[in-house]
Amino acid sequence: MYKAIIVEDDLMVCAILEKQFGRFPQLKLVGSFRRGAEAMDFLADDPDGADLIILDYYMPNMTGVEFLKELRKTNTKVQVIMITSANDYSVIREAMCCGVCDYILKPFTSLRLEKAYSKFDTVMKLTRDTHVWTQEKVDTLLCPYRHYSTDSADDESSYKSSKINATTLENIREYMQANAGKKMPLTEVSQGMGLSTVTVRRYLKHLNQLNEVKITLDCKTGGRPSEIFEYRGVDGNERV
Amino acid sequence: MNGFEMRFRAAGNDYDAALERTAGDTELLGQLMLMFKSDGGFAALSKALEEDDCKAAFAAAHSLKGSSGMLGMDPLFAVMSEITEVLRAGELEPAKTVFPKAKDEYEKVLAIIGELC
Repeated sequence: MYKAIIVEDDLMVCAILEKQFGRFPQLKLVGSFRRGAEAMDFLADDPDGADLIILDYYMPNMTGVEFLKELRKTNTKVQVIMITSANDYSVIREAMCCGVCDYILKPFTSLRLEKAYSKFDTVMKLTRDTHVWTQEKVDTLLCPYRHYSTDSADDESSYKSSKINATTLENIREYMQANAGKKMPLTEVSQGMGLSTVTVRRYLKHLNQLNEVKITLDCKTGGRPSEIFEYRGVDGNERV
Repeated sequence: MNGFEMRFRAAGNDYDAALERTAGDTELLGQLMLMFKSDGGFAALSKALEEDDCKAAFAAAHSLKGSSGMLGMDPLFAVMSEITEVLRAGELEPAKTVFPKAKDEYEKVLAIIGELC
């Protein structure tokens, strides 16, 4: 079980973050702070009090980067995911120099948060289980996003560069149109099409990019949230 | 689809994105909408612009931009983004010029949220 704290002055964003990160069964929220100074006091009292800090940038009295600089004077172990609307390169660069596991811009999507959590989980498992650091393990530590899933089709960059066969796309589109209005997990579409989940996911993501298929998350699986696919129509208008 | 959702969508807001951020929790989304309505940020922005307090105006605008973005209030988010950027550059007059548009979008959203009460 990982321990996480939120450092965010906006109560609404806090409520959303608590809901979102509450989806991960291995993560326990142990504190929520409106000010960086309060979080610093918490960690001063218990240096091992958190494995993960979910950190905002714009906060009164102490920005997220100021908090991070202060934190890193005594703690280089705790992982940090910055979630902020600060999109200045200077802020992003400072945060990276202080050591962040991920940097997410608001407004964020659930899927992007899930990726951030997966990066954190990958780093935690790697640092826990590794005794001899090879180049490959260092590479994973430096870039956990490219390595957090063994399924290379989950990598967005490989999805974007993959060839989309027109006939296969049309077949999957027709299948989804025939099931318009039905919310389906990946396995159902895969079985219906007689194609691998890897292939089907690539085409469904493509149709999502075209605004024809809607993707939502099913958080009630008890484990990792799964994607649910629903046909919206050629112009993005929902069809029933 | 309930009345609030219909009016929220019809006004050009992104209900799906807002609901996705609450992991599908419509009750939480409703609570957050009411929280937005009772937040004094817009009044703080208005006051700061009247008093030519660029720093306070930026803080208020930035906060409103964030909350409107998180709640899928796309038209309000767009105008608050514009105001935030000019205030970040220290430009009060352009912010004041755009402010009536922001007020209009803000009041439209408040009227829709009023349906939840």
